[in-house]
Formats: sequence, C-alpha cells, structure tokens
Amino acid sequence: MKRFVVLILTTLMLVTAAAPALAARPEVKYPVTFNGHPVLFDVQPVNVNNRVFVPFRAIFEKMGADVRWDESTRTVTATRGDTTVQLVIGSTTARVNGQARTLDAAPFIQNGRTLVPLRFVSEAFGAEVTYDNATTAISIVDPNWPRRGGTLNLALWNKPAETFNPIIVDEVYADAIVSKVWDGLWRYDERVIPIPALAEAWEWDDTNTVLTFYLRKDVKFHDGTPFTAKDVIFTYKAIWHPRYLGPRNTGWDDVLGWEEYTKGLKGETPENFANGYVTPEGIEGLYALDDYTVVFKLKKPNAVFLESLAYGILDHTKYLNVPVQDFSTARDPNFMKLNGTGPFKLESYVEGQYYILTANKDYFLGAPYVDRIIYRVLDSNVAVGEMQRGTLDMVEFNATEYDAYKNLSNINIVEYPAMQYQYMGFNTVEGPTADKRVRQAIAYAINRDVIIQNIMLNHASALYTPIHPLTWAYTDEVEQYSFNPAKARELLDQAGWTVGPDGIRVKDGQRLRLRLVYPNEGNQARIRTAPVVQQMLKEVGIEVELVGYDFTTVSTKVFEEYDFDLYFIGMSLSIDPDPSDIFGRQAAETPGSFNGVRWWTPKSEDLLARAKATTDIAERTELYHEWQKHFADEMPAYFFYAPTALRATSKRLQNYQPGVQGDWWNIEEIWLSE
Amino acid sequence: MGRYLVRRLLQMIPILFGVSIVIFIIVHSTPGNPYAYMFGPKVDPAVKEKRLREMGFYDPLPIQYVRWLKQTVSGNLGYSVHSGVPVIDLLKSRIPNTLILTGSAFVLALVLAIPIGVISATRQYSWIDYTVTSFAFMGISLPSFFGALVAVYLLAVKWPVFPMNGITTPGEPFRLTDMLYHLVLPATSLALRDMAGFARYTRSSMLEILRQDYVRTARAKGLPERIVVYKHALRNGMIPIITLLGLSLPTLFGGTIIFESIFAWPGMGLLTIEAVSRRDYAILMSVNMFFALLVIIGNLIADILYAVADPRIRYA
Repeated sequence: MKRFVVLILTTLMLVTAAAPALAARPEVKYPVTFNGHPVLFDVQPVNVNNRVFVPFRAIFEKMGADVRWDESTRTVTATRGDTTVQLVIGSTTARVNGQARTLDAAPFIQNGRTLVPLRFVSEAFGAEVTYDNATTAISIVDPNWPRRGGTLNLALWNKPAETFNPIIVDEVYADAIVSKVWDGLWRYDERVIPIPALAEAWEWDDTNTVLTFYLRKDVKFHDGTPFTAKDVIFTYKAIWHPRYLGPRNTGWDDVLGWEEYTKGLKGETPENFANGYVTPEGIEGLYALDDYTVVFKLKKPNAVFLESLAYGILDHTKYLNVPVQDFSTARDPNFMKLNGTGPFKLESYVEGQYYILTANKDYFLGAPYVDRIIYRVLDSNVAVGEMQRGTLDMVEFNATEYDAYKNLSNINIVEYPAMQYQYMGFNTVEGPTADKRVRQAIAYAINRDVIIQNIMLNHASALYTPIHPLTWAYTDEVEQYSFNPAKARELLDQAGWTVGPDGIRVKDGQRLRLRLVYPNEGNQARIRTAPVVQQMLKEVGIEVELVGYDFTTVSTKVFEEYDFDLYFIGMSLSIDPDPSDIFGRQAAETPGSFNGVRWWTPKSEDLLARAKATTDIAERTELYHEWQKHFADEMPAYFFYAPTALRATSKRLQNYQPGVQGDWWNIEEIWLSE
Repeated sequence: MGRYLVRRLLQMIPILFGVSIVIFIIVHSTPGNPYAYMFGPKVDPAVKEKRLREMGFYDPLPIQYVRWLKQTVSGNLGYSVHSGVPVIDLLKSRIPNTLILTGSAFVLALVLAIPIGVISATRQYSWIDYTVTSFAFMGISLPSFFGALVAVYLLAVKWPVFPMNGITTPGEPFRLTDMLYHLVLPATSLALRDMAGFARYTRSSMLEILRQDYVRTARAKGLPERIVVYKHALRNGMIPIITLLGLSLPTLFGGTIIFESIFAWPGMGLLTIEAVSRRDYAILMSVNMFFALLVIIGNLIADILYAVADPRIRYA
C-alpha cells in the first residue's frame, strides 16, 4: 500500500512537473548536502530571517538519528548515540541532552511538514555547516559520523561475463560491478521515486511528448574527461544502432526519428552506419540544446519512457573509433578499462577470482563512506561458512537455505518483497494446452498454498497474474483458481479428456501426457516444485513428463523453439507494471523474446496499448485491473508466487536498505561500523 | 625406443582428427547456441540473420568444421564467442591454476599412499592395515567433495586457521607463501580423495609381489627386510600405480571441477562449466581437444614408464 501511494506520487510529479517546452533550467534554492551527499526534501527549504528551515525527518534520518514525533506535545525528538535533540513547534526553546538552548526562530509547520532550523539541528549533533552565498548551497559535514573507511566484502556466485559496459551488460554478476561504476540520468530513492543523478532536473512539456534533461555541470568521468550532453546522445544512439548487440534495444518505437535512424536513413553517414560507428550528433528525437541540456522527443505520450532512461552513460570520446558491435569485447580498446562517473572505480581484478573497486573520492553525489569493495567469485554453497567466519558482509540466499542462516549469531537477516515471480507457462498454440479449459483445469488442480508453505517456507506471497503485488496496478479481484480438483476433473471431462484404464486421461486415443520443461540448476525451490506439480496433476489424470535442462537449453526450448507443453521460469521485473514484453503480441511473434506461451488476444493488446498511452495513473490502474481479469480467465500462465528476497548481512554493515531499486542503490551512503 | 615413440606420436594425429570430428558434432548439436542472447528481443530478424550469416552460423557443419580445423592447425584456437578474448589467453591463465592445485595434490597423494600401501601390505591384517583399509573405503565411498566441505568447516570456519577459498589474498601482490597458505586445504582434501585409491592399489600389488619367488630369494640371501621390500618388491609393485598415473593425467585437469568450485580456484574445470553454460563453442572445442590430447599423452607416458619400471618391457 505504501508503494501504491509512492508510485501514484511519482506519476503525479511527472504530470504536474510538465512546464512550457522551452522552460529554462529550474533553479534549485538551498541545495543541502550531508557529508557531500544530497539531502532531498519533499517540501523545499525555507528562509526565515536568514535562517534556513528544512523538514525535520529527512535531515535527521540523513544524519542517522532516530526520530520521534509526539503529537500531543508537538515535539520532535531525535536521538543518535548519546545525543538527544528536542524541538517544539512554535517554541524558540530547544533541548540538547536536556539542556535548554534558545533558537532565533521557532520550528513551524508548512504544507503538512514540520520545518526545523537546519544549522541548529546539525550543530547539535556535532556537524559543521557552511553556506555558500553565491549558490545558496548548504554543506553539512559531520567529521565524526558515520565511520568512514573499511572494505566491504561481497560475493559473486559466478565469474562475471566480461560485459563491463552499462549498455551491454546482461547478467547480474557483471551488473553488480557496472552499476557501481556508471550512473544513469536519474535513479530511484528509498521511496522508489526517480531522483536526480547525472541530470539535476528534468521536465515533460505540456503535451507529455518532450522530455528535457538538465545535466549536472560538475561531473567528470574517472579519467577526468568532463561529462556532457554528447555522452548522453552517444549512449542512446549506440543502443539504437542496428549493429548494437545488447539487450536494451526495446521500447524505443515512440522516439521521433528512431526508425529512420535504425534503418540508416538519418543520423549517421552510410559508411559509419554500415561499419557500426556511432557519432554524438543529435537526431530528430534526441538532441542537445547546449552542452548540458538534452531533449528527447516522442511521437506520443509514453508512461514508461522515463524508466528506460536509467542506463549508465558512456564516455563517448573513448568510443568514436569503436564499432558498436565490438563494445565490451576484446576488440574494444576500452575492454576491461572501466571509465564511468560512478561512486566506485575498478582498481584491479584477477580474471575469475576477484574484482576490487575503490571509492571515487570526487563522486558528484558525495564520496562513498567505504574505501573499497572486494567482490570474490565464490561457490554459493560455502557462503554460509563465510558469513559465519565473518569474511563476507552480505549474501543473498533462498528460502530453502533459511534454516542454515537463521542460527548464525553474528549476522542479521533482512527480508523484503522482491520484484520477481515464478510461473508455469502453457503452450497456448499447440498440444492439449492450446485448449483454454485444459489450462484452467490445471490451474484448479495445483495447490498454490502447499507450494508456498512447504517449498518456499512462506517466504513468498501469492499472485495470480503477471502484475506484481508491489505495483499499484495489482488486484487480487480476479479468478484465483483456488485448489479445486473436482472442478479440474469437470473441465477436463468437458474438454473431451476422459479417464483411461490407468487413471490417465485419453482423448481420441491420445494420452494426456504433458512435457514440463524446467531449469534443473540454480533455484532449488523451483526444482523442487516440478515433482510436486507432477503429483498434483496426476491426481486429476494428467501425466507430466519432467524434462530438466540447464538454463541455456531451457531458454532455447521455451523462447525460441516453443518445444514444450509446460515450462517453469522466473522473471525479474522493472518497476512499471506494463507486462507487454512478456505477454504482448510482438513478443509472441518474435522468437527469442519472453512470450514463450505465445499468447495474445485483441482484447489484451487493446488494454495494454491504452494503458501505455496515458500517464493518468487512475486510468492506467483501471485498464490493468481489467487486463488481469482477462488474463486470469485466459490462463496462458499459472503464477505460483512472488518470492521475498532474503539477505544475510554482517552486523557491521550499516544503512543497507535493499529494495526493488536493488541492493546497493545508496552505496555511497553505506558504511561499516568496524 | 626412439622409433616406437615416433610411431606413437604419429598415431596421435589420426586419433586427434577423429576425436575432433566427434567433439565438433557433439558440441554443435547441443541445444541452445551462443548467439541466442547476443541480440535483444526486438532486433529486426533480417538484421539478426544477416549478422549471423556474416559469422558463418548458417554454414553447414562440415564447412564450419573445416574452417575450425584450418584455424586451429594454424595455431589459432579462436576467440570466445561472448567476450572475443582469445581462447589461448584463457587457457594460459587457467592451466597453471589447475596444475598447481592438482599437481601438489597428486604428489601429496603419492607420497602418502605408497608408504601406506606398502606398510599395510607387509603387515597384512594388522591394526594398521585395518585402519588404512577402512579409511580407504571411506575415501572411495564418500562423494569426493565431502572431505573438502568437512575440511572447510573444521579448519576454516570452526577453527579459522586457513583461508576458506581463493588462490591469493585479493588485492595483495603475489607472494609464494600466501599462495601455499591458500593451497593447503584444497590440495590436502583433493589428495585425500586420490590417496585412498592409490594406497589400495599399492597394497594389493605389493601383496602379490611379496609372495613371488624372487622376493623369497632376496630374503634367503640375507638382505635386510627394508631393502627387500622397498628396493626389490616395490619396483615391480609400482607397475599398476604407473598405469594409474598415466590414466590420471586427464583427471588432473578435468576431475577437479567440484574442488575448484568449492575453493573458488578458477582452473580448467570451472572454465569448462562456464563455457558449457554459455555454449561458447570456441572454448568448448579447445578445452575438449585439450582433454583428448591429455588422455592420449597420459597413455603414452604410462607405456614409457612401464619400460622404466620393468626391465623386461622393451619397445622397438
């Protein structure tokens, strides 16, 4: 529910932020940083008698204090270590550790937020405050808090592929490193709201088709090259180039001039185009107004467009002579030479063994508190031993490993909802499951609760369609197919599958035998689900043949060859609920995309297109609710559960706030207490 | 001997040729291909097909094979399909790692196994023999990684004497002592796996030899028991061990996948697994050919060592 509100707010912000198309760069009054890291407020700082007032919660939490609000006495109490600060609304008397201090101006309430004097509260905790008259920037530096330095020890379960390039990277291990070395134009904060990163502000115009990014002017790549608008244009043009071989070339159809560019009609000389060279010159739908202002122009409003603009930005000066098809291969002169803008630099590595990142002290969002991150390539089976020994600061684990971690005394366990789900896809084109009644019968025959309780040990929540419970678009008011074997049998009878002599159903002399393709490596819970489903379906007269393969084979069988009746797969999702990459028509008709069930209906396409074309969150919600009902009725895929993410952390790891934004979205503000 | 060697070496050529065809067919007929995820889902199928055609993906297998063969014969092992890194570079970084681990484990296993085997043979049915025998059976019966996990649990977690894994301490310049320190657990647990088998072979072989006439003769002429056993009997008793050594050569490189993975020791085993899961044809071909070569060379070495150990064997 919290996120529901959050995401509504996000969209409202986008809509209300819409200003005239040629608006100037928005002026930021009183930008506040704490130890160099920007502090963002939902109510802007206010100057009263030359004292800057800010909302108390944001500033206290940034300073690591626990905040309490007492409604009856209208008192704010902030505690950190042995320091307690108390402020009363409307009173010029404040208390620090019980001792009264007099304020020049009293805390007050504005737009529903309590504002407190910034300098007073910072200094009360021992921080130093400096005010820059020219820029109105306020810098708070606390020399004693939090602890700086130390090495964060982390693990990778596999050797990362050498795709250390933010637009090429396609697997989680390399991305763990890439995401710390490069920044995107914006990023998510703890409320899952987009906040400034390389762009200090952005705005949509009145028509919601022109998106202007105002870039920061103080950003440099690790090697000192200044970051400019050309880097942004180059990065996105590289993604759009037809010779680009990475996974990010989807969802750009709405950009003006995108199609002409991909066909080589505009944007590059024919020679450059044929050889794969990309230039930083603008095109119709992506151009620079000046060195620090970039504009994206769309054909029509697109509610999910901003989300696709979070990719790390490359230093274009290093890639002018590198064909895009060679990016991050040994033919790329930048191969294994990582040059980003991000909080960490790759210091050294030994192929297949470890990767050492050091803090970028000049990071534009403030130097990270930790000095180094060491990623070691480890077998996940020994991770619990490493945690016990204290040689790792964080590992992720599965519900099946919960007991092993539960008993360790030197760790904390963090559990949070993850934007993932596990489902069983049906072949909706060929074989017995092309009949909707058979699919529905299978759904009735599966006992989802048993799987969640006994295999996931309740570290998962139910879901019924591909709309994740964490998104605002979710509804459970759909046909849930609660466990009902009688109904399943009835539906199978209706579909003409009658019980044969050995209990397995038969139709026209053909046995109801289904091939279940699933990955027999990796996720243990998913592997254990296969025989359980086999048994459940046997109860209603369906014989299931378990066909386990490695991942690559499963992907080929499912998404390219469609060689299955049923399959298991899991998906990690982006934050916008639009499911058309997995259950849309285009994905159904393009082998290699994720619609392995090859399901689509005109009704579904219509609903999805309409939901994408509007930015009105209420309208989108309604359309997605209707789509979920339609999806549940059609049953192209049976959804088992959305797992919760489980993490074990060392006790010294502080301010670690994993969420749908990722594990390390606030990496520069994470610190080690010893 | 020289002519024999030349003949054997020449025989290797057609064998390797045949093996390469078999491997090539198997590798290329596994489901899935390395290019599957090279392209984003919305790449124009025509563009995709054109790119794959340029790469020679659609050529018939025999043509692809001839291309591979030409390239390999000219000394180029090709490039990783995913990263474009020359395969030879990967082999160069991985082979030493594996060799250090398995080589030291192998030596350790032999140094321990042979005396143990001899002792349990000379004192058959003594308590030493029973202890060694039961230990050996345990070693053979338990899955090989079990000992490794127990060693890690006891000596790296419970009493953290040794590092849990890795080849060196990350971020520190290479020091031999640091590497040896990291080598203790993996090499010992790997040695324990092989030792059990070697000790059993030595024991049974020695039992047989010790009953032979020439051993009795040696004893009869008054030689001390130590000389009888270690000089006269052991030399003959070593013949089955030598066979085993030769045949172990390929396992030296390929039989350690689990150990490499538990101890985060990136060698040939992990390289193979990585290449299989990504269907990296170039790496797979080279790795498999390398193993094939090792099998053949291992056999050759065993044959040569026979002659060394047993003067009755002469090659011409």
